Amino acid sequence: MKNFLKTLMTITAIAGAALILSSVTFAASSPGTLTINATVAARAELVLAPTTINFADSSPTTVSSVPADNPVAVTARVRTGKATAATLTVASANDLTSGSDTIPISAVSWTASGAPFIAGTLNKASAQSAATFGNGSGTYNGTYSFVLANNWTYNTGSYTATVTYTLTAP
Amino acid sequence: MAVNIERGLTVNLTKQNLKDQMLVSKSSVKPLDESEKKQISIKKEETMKNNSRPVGKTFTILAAMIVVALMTGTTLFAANATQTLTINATVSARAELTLSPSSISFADASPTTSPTIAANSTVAVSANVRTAANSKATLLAAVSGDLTSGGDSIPASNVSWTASAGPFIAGTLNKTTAQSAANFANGSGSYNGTYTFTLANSWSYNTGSYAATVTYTLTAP
Repeated sequence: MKNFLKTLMTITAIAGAALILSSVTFAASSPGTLTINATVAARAELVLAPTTINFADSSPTTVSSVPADNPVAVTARVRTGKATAATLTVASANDLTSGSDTIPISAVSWTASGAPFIAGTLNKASAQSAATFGNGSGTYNGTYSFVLANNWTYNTGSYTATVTYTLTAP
Repeated sequence: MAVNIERGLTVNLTKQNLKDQMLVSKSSVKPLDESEKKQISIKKEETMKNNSRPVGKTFTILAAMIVVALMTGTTLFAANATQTLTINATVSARAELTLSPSSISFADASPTTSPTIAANSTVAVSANVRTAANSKATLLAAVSGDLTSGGDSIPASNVSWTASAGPFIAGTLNKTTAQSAANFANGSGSYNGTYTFTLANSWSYNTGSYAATVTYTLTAP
């Protein structure tokens, strides 16, 4: 019994010493800082759907403005400074062409639904503004509806032109 | 894993070491003497010096930002997005012809004093044509028979017309062959003019109310 008590006391002493030692030798605390950085760069995303529209043949006598087969849904996503405004321009380098025949690109105009998108007329000499954005970032949705000014002077043919929309986030 | 406790003592935290260390009494831990404390202080200063390099740190951050920008395909200052829209337009061959009025009349008159009788009205003609750039429209006037009144007739060829302006041209009706009523240029266009009709008068005509129908055909090839 005496030996048992002695052993118990020895174990208790060792355990106590170990606890003290561990707290002195191994435990450590140190304040740490975490720096979190986030970069938000200027960014622009533009989606047009569909990317092709068609004007069907029709009599200029009865249809002076030919509507396109579909409106064009437009989505513009912009990240820019809070004091700067994005721009959306549409450039058309050429007229509608069919072989050597042409229809002036200025015969194509559009209306817009949903701000900040605006109406306009294509112009091959200078890119036209297609939206008037407010300052700062945002996501915008709207539609463009295109029409072709019809005219008896157009020669028969399948005309085509490609216009380029450029969304810029300064 | 090793932890340097700044005293030249390295403790490897293996299971066996932990066991061994647990057996070491508190008294076996030697307190720091003054020279050791001084060494620790110097090392701390050096460490702080090494960590406070603003130029190097800034450069590192900038480099990281550039790498991120390059990897994500963006620029830090401005961004563009482009989208093209293809516009197609179909222009088919098309022809529209309008005559107004669509009926004219020749009044009775003495062949002696009126060898030709003017119609009661000129006829306005409007021709709208869409055709290929290298092809031309045609306008023909066809009459299937003479002017008739019961069993009597007046030759259709006694009816002729003049035209006010190009591309419309003068002519005479012919029941055998359709007559050209315009000379169009190549390509599309919209044209307006007038026809003025006359009837060659003759004492040989029997009395009656004569009529004939002339069909004008505008063709855009």
